[in-house]
Amino acid sequence: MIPAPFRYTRAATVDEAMQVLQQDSDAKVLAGGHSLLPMMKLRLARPSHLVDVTRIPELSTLKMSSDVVVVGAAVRYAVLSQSRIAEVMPLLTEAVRLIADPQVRHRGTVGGSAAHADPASDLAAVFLATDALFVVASPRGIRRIPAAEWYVAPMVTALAGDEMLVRVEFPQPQPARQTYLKFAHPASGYALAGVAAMLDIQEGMIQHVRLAVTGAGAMPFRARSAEQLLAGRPLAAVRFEEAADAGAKDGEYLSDAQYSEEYRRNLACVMMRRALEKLAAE
Amino acid sequence: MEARLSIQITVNGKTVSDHVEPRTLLAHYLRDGLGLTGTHIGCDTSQCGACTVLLDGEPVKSCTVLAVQADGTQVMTVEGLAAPGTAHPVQQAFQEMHGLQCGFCTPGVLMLSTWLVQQHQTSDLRHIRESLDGIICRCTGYENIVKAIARAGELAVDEPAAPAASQREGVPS
Repeated sequence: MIPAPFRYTRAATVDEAMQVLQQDSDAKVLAGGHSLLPMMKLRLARPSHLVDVTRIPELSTLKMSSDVVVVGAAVRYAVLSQSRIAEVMPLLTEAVRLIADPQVRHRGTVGGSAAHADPASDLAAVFLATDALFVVASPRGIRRIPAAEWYVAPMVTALAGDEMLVRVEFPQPQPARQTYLKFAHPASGYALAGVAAMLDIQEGMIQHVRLAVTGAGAMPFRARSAEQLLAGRPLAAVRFEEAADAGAKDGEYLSDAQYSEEYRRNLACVMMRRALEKLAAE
Repeated sequence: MEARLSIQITVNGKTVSDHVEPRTLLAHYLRDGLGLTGTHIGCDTSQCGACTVLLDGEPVKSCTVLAVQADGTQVMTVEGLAAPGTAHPVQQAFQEMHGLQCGFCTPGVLMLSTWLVQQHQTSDLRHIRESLDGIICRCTGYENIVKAIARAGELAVDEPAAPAASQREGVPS
């Protein structure tokens, strides 16, 4: 299958990429292309112009400091999984290693996942749990969009047509205990339920609980009810099952031909409970 | 039709300059543009991995890479593994362990395996199995593929030298 014809520009700078987006409202940003090109082959997407941003040096940034981890939008999963970011955000590298397969991880990018906004994207749970900030550029300047506002609808983000994602910022420090657990669809490998979980345990008390779920719901979501039930409580006194059950109710679920709404909600609950148990046992 | 763009790619050690439509996929360019039909197109939806080639030394599915995206890169296809009439250690291992049945996915499997061998990631069978996630063998011949990759790792330790680029079959000059 060959995509419909389009123009191609390899941008050298963010400004150059933005110019194309401004001139042509049907232009799309191309990074790894592993979501966009399959859609273009099927004519589910038919952009008139692709702006390749993968060779803009700024977009390949990986920076760590005491207050923030910065990941450029065009950083590929394979690069991220091998990076020193594992030392401060094991959650992120753990999740990235579970995305698709080795070949796809050599092309797919962090920014591409964010901008594509597949509601079963592994990174969606990580972005939500860590309160990541999406730094976007436009002719009006730079703005930061919090993860909680990023995912508007399935495959729709808060990005305006002339805006482009430049980098993702993860505020630091994050809670010390972190994990990403995934129940993958046996054929597609997509998350039927993926849970990003973080917490601290200080003197037997649970603190700073962050839980987010992808794949199970119609949209990725933060399980705040579970967080509220657990935060500040003694580890010995909490029931993870109860918290996970409450957290799962924060999502909205849809039935489809394969899986019922109840099954998906239950899966979110089970995966949250497992993630919490894993972190408590560390 | 959109204007053709000029590209320069080093394929199997030989640099080629060409003009391609932006929508030309790397897999099609290799097969139709350069006649390197060893790279197979299986699913054409980036699932099956039969089209796997090494792009700057890393395994990628060439049905989901535009030829223009490969501009300025080094590409290695199955034709680049060894000179005609000879076999790369990975190919030897697949022959020895009967690591193929119908052979359709084999070019992609060989390229992924070559990368695994180069990364010294062939000692753990479980890791090999996980690494094959992006390869679909419709004959379901995975057992022997896994054994062949493990064997390739052993052979590569014994015989690390690869044939020089100039000896490789490949691009029409």
